[in-house]
Amino acid sequence: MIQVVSSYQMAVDEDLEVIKNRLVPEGAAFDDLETLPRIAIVSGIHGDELEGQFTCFEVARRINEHPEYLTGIVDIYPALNPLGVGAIYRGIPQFDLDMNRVFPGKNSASPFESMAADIVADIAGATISLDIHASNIYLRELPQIRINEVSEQTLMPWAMESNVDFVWVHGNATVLKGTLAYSLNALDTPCLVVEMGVGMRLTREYGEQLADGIFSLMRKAGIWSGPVAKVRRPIVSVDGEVGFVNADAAGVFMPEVKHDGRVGKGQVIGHVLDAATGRVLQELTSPADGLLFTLREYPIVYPGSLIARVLAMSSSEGVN
Amino acid sequence: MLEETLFSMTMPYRQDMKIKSFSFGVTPDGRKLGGDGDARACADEFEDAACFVAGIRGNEVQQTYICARIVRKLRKLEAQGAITAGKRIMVIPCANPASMNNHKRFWVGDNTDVNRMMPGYSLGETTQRIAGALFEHVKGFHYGIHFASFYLEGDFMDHVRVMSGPGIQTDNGADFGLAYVSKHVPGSFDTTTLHYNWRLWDTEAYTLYTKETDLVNDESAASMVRACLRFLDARGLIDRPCHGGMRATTFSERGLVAVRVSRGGIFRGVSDLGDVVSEGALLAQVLDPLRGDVLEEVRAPEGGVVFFACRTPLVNEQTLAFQLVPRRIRKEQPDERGNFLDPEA
Ligand SMILES: [Zn+2]
Repeated sequence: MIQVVSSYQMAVDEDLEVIKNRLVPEGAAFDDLETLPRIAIVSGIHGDELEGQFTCFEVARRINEHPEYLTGIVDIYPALNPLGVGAIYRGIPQFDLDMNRVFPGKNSASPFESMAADIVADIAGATISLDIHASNIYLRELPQIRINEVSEQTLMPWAMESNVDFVWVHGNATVLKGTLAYSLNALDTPCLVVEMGVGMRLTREYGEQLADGIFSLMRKAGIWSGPVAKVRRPIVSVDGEVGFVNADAAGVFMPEVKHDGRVGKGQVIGHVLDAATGRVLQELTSPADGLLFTLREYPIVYPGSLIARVLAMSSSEGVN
Repeated sequence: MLEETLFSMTMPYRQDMKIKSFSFGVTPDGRKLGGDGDARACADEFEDAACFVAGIRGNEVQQTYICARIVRKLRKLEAQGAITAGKRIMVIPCANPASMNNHKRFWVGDNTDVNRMMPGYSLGETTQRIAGALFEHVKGFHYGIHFASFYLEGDFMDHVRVMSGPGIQTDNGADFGLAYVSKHVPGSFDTTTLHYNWRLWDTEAYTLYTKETDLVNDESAASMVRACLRFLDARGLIDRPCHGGMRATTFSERGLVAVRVSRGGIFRGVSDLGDVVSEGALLAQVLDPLRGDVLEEVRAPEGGVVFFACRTPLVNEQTLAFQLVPRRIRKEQPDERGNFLDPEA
């Protein structure tokens, strides 16, 4: 059932609406809903990140196919920033503003702050929630979950069941406070941040992989009694084990590796090219043996542009 | 005057981006920064006294223009011998010329905000490198003045903004002689701004806001240049007869009275910036964009001075239409969450 989570009047004959689809067990009485476990699946805070679209679809499709297995509530919020999603725009159109800096929001403030407050109020109290991101248009990410160290104890058991390739635990100092995930976790509503794929594109296998993970979480939360796929065991890392590769030249980046796993220390990741002269401006190599989980997708680079992130690992670690 | 390139970066398919600075200083024996031969002085002979920075965002054109006028003025004062010996004054009129040439507020490459990257990191991402190079050169000055802008679509009265913490609390925004000094309690999003980091490194920091941003306004620019000279004079960095300006009213930002519209539609302002309004005065109307009817009359909830006025012709329900400085300035309010409608957010 489609429900309106938040609605604000815009200038010309239109309301800005944030919607969700609520799926409930067959025959559940309205009064029982409060007592049922609930999962919130959220996407589209950044309007140019679309990987969550297919995950949302896939979860809804599988539930529609077997509604008899549903034993709790599934709320799907496919587009928290509807104007942005419709306009290929990362931030909130009208302002050049990142919606994931506005949470927890505030009622009776600006429309977007109020909207953020409505969203937080709607999700709060869920057994588990996921905020699905797709990196940005510059970088492609292996399916991963990012966790603030202060929430590690609560979130890690969920993250381990979510069928992602790896889990990155961030130091609290580097965590932004205006995010939806931070706000929900502060309210004791566990929220996992998923990053996967790349902006403005859909990657079918990532969408299916995460959908499998979501059913596994639903089962753990008592929301799904049907069969679930066996989940992979993610590699877990902390900040210090991640090496960054940045460009030092301006030009065109051409990768030399596939974005699917292991690289060796010193292995060539790609080159920065000068298209006019045919010269190679810079060769970029891996700082460590490990998992190449981030790889640049957008070719034009400036000095400083991020090219890759590599999680240092010995060769025997992390074999699924 | 000494003109230097503080930072230069290669760019794809365009000339290198250069951040330029203009420094002024005279030694007690009359040698100058940027002087020729024997008349030349070195930067390390001076106390780093005052630093002006503008154009960290590419649309802050008025701010760059003001700094350009300050450069011109200081050149004149230097020629007249009116700059106090031993003090260096540095001006960086445009810290982000690449974005300014693109008519773009944020960084041309990835749309990130250089004023969200302070103090920067020389091995990090592009805007961290720019921020790092800039901060390396501007830190350590006694006084730091940043010309910044609000992202809100509207006009603010020219004013000085000071921060309550961190670092030293010697600031006195009233020395600029502008009508208003606003006091801001920093939130977590402030920690990566130039102002905040200046304070962390013990610079007495001020942010100046002017009515325009992407348009040039001569009158407002002239008043800002005078305010800066007044400040330099008050701190003994120049010797020039300055008129006193205005006796500033200082208020806490949280004491501003927000006036919001309750309907979406076409916004038609009635009151102007700086108007003194009494309780119940008509400030604006919201019109039905298709039928022309008046949907709402926006009125002042209490008496005060119009400090911010919305400029966008289209408003959503709950859009901030005005901020009033109330007639009776409230005492500092107990700490609540920083307002996201913060100019720097
Ligand atoms: Zn995102």
